[in-house]
Amino acid sequence: MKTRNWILGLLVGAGLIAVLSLAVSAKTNPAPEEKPFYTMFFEYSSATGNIHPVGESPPVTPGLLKYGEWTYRGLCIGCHGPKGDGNGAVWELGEQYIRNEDHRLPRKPRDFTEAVFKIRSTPSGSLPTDLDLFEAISRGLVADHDMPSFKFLPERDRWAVIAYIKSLSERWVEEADYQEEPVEIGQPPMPTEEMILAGKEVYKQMKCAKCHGPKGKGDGPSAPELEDDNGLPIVPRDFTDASQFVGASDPRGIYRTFTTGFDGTPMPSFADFLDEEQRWQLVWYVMSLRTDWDMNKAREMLQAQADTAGGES
Amino acid sequence: MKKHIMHIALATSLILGLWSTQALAYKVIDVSNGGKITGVISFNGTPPANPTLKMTKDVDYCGATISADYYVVNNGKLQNVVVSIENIDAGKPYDKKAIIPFDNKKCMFSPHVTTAVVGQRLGVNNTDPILHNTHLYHGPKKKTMYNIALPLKDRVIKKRMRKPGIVTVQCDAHEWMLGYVYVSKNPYATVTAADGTFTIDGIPPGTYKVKIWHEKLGEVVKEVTVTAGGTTTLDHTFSQ
Repeated sequence: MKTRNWILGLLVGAGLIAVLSLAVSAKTNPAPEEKPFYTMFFEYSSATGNIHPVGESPPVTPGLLKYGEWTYRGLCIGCHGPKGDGNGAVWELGEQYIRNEDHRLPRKPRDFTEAVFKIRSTPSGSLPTDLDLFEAISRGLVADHDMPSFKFLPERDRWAVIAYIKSLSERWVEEADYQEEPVEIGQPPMPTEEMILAGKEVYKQMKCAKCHGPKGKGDGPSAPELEDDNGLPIVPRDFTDASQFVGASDPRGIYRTFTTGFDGTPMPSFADFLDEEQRWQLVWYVMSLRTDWDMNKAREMLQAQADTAGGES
Repeated sequence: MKKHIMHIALATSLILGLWSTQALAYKVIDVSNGGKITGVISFNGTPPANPTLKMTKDVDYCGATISADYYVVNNGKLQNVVVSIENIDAGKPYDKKAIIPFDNKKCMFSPHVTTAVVGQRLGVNNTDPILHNTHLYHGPKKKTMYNIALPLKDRVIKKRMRKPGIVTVQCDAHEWMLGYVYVSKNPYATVTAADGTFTIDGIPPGTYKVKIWHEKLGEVVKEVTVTAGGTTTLDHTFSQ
């Protein structure tokens, strides 16, 4: 029994160190002078592992749940805590940093017992789909989130963790009957100057500048007082730097973000006010605000993506 | 392996079964000779002063300052107090499809406090020509329930109240805005009027626990007996 505890302790320790070093390396690596344009589709970067699942999700069995718990205790517990409420050791350490020095405030790790999720393909107020969770775990959350990418994990492990996470809140059982469907996001249309101009008008009508500022720098009049569900200050995204987008920075990701909103943050859902056409206009306008924006490259990449997708099916 | 799946299926159906009986707890029955609870909620003494809210955004439209509406007391009578019967499983019918109006008006919520029955929808409107976002938080831990942007004037967005409890409403764009929706399990909940009065009718005879809740003064629970066709008086006086 004692040896087992030892091994478990070692495993947890190793996991913690792995997560910490990932977080630290993410912080200490200086940002390159010129940001690569592929931030637009950064989920296709060359690092190992896939963001989107290739195989089917396995059925949830007690074995899978147990395995998910084991993986969670190895890799997630440091930030999300032993109870899954976001009060992990790393967060407590982070809080000390905030008190001691002029450190930018990180976001609190997700509280799985409350199950309010930011990145969802489902309408505001709904639970995310399993696929949403899979992609978030695989992609990681950049900017002030410090959530590393776990795409190096085999798919089955990621599904197992998802099954475990979903066992931590009653919401998953309570709301099973009225879980809402994810919003449908089609292939983005090719960007044009007219579309971007129209998007600028949508940006104005939707009053995005209120928080994100007239030029999308994240400096709107309401920006200074914004808080998240934990009462922590939160800043609106600066659209000029796509490497800091918390959801996905690709066109469909941006479409999803303003359509469903980021629950738990001040970012609301605009689903009831925009039609399909306006949404893509807004997407391309927001895309065009980034400093590395290049319409021709965007068109090329989109075409290449469409060709690949066409070739696969 | 098969056995495991069977167990899970069994456990899931049990849990779901329990949940649905809970969710369907309120039963509509014929209340032909129901009783009534009526009364006045008062405030004893000088009510605490409402803070002056500084409107730091959209000053041109909202104005620079406004007095908060936390304590609305007229001649010692308290408005915006929720009165609700807590333990009633069966009773009068109600309009399940009703849309409960909730407006963003002059950079404040109107009404400040309202009630809805679980399953009913809140109809959130913005009568201001500026961006509001109505951010609904559930329960004492204030976790996001919905967060909807209202960039255009006069477009009612309907959102279902899925869980009973106190829903706090805020606007991230205008941090001084504050409102409440009391989501009840049954249609026996109301809010006191400007003169502090309230009436709850169509109650089957019996003894009930009645909750009296004010956003700043807290809650009290009183036991009330309702007789067939009778009127029971329930008054309460808050003091600081």
